[in-house]
Amino acid sequence: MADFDGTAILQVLARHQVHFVVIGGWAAVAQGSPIPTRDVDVVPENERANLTRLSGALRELDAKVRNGDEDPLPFVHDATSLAGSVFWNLTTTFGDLDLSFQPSGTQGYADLRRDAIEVTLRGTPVLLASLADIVRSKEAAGRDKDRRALPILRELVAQQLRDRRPKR
Amino acid sequence: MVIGGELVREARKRGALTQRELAERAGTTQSGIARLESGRTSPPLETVQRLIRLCGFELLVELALFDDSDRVQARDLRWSTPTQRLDLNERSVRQADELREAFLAATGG
Repeated sequence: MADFDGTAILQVLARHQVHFVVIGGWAAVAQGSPIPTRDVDVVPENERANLTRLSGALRELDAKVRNGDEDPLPFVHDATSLAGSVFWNLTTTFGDLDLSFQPSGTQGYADLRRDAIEVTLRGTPVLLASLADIVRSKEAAGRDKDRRALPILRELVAQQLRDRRPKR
Repeated sequence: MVIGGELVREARKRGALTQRELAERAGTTQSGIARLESGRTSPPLETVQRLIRLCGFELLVELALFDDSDRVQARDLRWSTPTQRLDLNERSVRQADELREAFLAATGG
């Protein structure tokens, strides 16, 4: 199993000029969540030219389909097949990557792009979904691991609101 | 209730409503909703519940045992940069893997 390096995965996507927003636990960690995660969740823009670039990046990452405890399965893809998909759990040379075109509770890339925050990681600009949008998605997904993260994520959102409020 | 505004915003977005549409349903103004969502006002719980219902959702409230371990760790991370936080995450993941491998080696798994 490859050592997980989420930033390296995103650097490959950025080098291929893929438009995407990072959501999920990894984006939350970057914004202060203390809950570790071993995959990175990416919401790509669902436009044909972007999906062609995404397909190229996935080839460079040697992306395969995760298959539980079994060996990963080959992942044959192009812009057309990616356009017809909703969700992929992948494994790459830098660890696990989940692609989701419309995460629960959201309308996808354009919706998340609106309030996304740009951070620079190892010299590469990356868009992270806002903590509020991460909470919205986790709340809608409703899985146990999402519910466990919600109290601290909500507190971090409230902290951000307090920090932004003008001091009197 | 700072978090109340955030809950209303989340419900409105999940309900695919604009601030203006929610204001019309609630009989208030768009700027009133914007102020509430921004945390500049602290609405009472009843107001939050009402607005969330107008978005088509129900606010469920429950009591759980207090555990501040996540909060303490989040406080320690507050002044770190995103890169520092992600490096720490990836170190934590590696340590967890090493621990698991050591456990499997010790138990013959």
